Amino acid sequence: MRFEDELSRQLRARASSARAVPDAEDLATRIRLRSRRMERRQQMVLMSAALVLAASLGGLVGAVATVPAVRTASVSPLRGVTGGADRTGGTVAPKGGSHIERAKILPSYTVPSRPVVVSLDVAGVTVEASRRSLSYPVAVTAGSRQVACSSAALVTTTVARPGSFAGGAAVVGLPVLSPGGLEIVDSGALPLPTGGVVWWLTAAVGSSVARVAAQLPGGQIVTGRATAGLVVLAGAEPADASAASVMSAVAETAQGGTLSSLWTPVGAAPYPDGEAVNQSPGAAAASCSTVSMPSSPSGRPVVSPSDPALAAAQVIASLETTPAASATKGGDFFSDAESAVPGLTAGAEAPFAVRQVSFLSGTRADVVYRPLTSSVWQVARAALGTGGRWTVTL
Amino acid sequence: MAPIELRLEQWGPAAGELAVSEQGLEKGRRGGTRAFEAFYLENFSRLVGLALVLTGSKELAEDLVQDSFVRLHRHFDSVEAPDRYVRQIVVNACRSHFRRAGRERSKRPLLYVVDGVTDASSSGELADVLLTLPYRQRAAIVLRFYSDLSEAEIAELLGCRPGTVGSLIHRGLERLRRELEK
Repeated sequence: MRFEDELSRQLRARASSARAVPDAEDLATRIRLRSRRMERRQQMVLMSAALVLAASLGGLVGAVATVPAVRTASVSPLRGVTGGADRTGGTVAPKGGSHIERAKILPSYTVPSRPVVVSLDVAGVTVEASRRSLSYPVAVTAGSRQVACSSAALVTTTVARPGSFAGGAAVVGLPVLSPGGLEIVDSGALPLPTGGVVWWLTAAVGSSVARVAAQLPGGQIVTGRATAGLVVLAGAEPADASAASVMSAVAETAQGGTLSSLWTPVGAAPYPDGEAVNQSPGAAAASCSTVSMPSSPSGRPVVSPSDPALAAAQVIASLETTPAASATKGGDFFSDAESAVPGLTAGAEAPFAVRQVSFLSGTRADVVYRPLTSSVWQVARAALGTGGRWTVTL
Repeated sequence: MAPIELRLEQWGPAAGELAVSEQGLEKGRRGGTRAFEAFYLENFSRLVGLALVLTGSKELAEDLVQDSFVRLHRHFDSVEAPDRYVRQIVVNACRSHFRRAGRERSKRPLLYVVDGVTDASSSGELADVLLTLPYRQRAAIVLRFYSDLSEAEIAELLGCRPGTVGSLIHRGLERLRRELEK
């Protein structure tokens, strides 16, 4: 027998020894498993493609939705001013310089076309305020108290005339305000080419407030109606008016009843305020804790010294003499206040920005201030001393 | 032997009526669960025999042939010659198995001593000695002397030229002879 024939015989004998029995059930199981594997593989491919598509479209939509909003509104999630004008008529760069950039980092609340709540025309200058509720609860950082995360609104004030503009934006925590509450959101002044300034003050008010009346040092009274929780006051001041003027703001009911009041510098320079931290709706309330706005005289009865304007100016100027203040000086408000208010001994420069003074009684007051080196607003207690002078304790 | 119970519904929906000729499946009217079932029953044992002489293990041969039929199931209705197609799958599956085994052996640490293992070449059986040949030589010999395929058919299965098949068979037979003469 040839070698090849023997090889063929042995191979067939070996193959026939197997006696293999078909196992249809096992085959069916394997077919099902393979089919499922292939289905999963196809699903994974489809999901991957969908993810890539979603990521691409998401970025595109995000860019389209966010960038124009930031450009048109010039606001950021921060409570603060993104642009303004100095007292010489030129525009100034946003303080901090990173607001727009941070708005891109935190695009959770985009700002589409802004519904204008209040629109005024003062000496050819248009003053507009808008308010838009944020779709996410936010934590507004300012002051030192911790409160729960809350719903909030973005309030934007735009002051413009041909050639220059000013304005500011702030995030206001809504539950902070009591029905009779009054809280200054933004203020500033836009220089006029003819000299003088147009000052404005934007305030958030509680639901019971119908209007806010402000009295300037010269006795002039400016009134603004409350619309959608906002009041905008604006007026023109001549060139020789003191920039350190302090005016009162009183929240009133429709019948003229007084709900709350405070004192604030007129046309204070735009200032950055607290910081808003975006939170997703699903975030636990505990993790969304925040620092509230400083305590305001919201809902308190109006009590004030016999000469509240002088007292408010003294309270503001007394910050200068505190030990903490003397270490770091800056700004020019207090030097103006010193010359404007008789009896003040403030230095030439002040290291603080003051937002408002609220009299708790005839001898006590709260002053909301911020060191120029910080973005956090704080509350200091002022008291009338035995010598008839107001002193502030930091 | 107990009758084989097939659960046809597990193989998917019937795509056509049964059309099995005397030679197997009739081209053009093939398809459906019953046709696949018939083809499976008709060819399983033969393919296991082929895989057995290629691998030397009955269990491994059955496993590879079952997997080959799973692969065939997807294309059963579309391939022209399912018998050649599934044979190709079996030959490739055996080659893949030895490649995989070779890779795993190369990664395995040498921490054991082989002792008491019967040397296949010492059994004197041609089919055993055949397993010592490189896979391509072994496959060429098996397909030629077990499956009775021509060199051209073998070349198509192994993906080489017919002349290469002749060379593989010649060298494989020479080596077998040498091993048996030892």
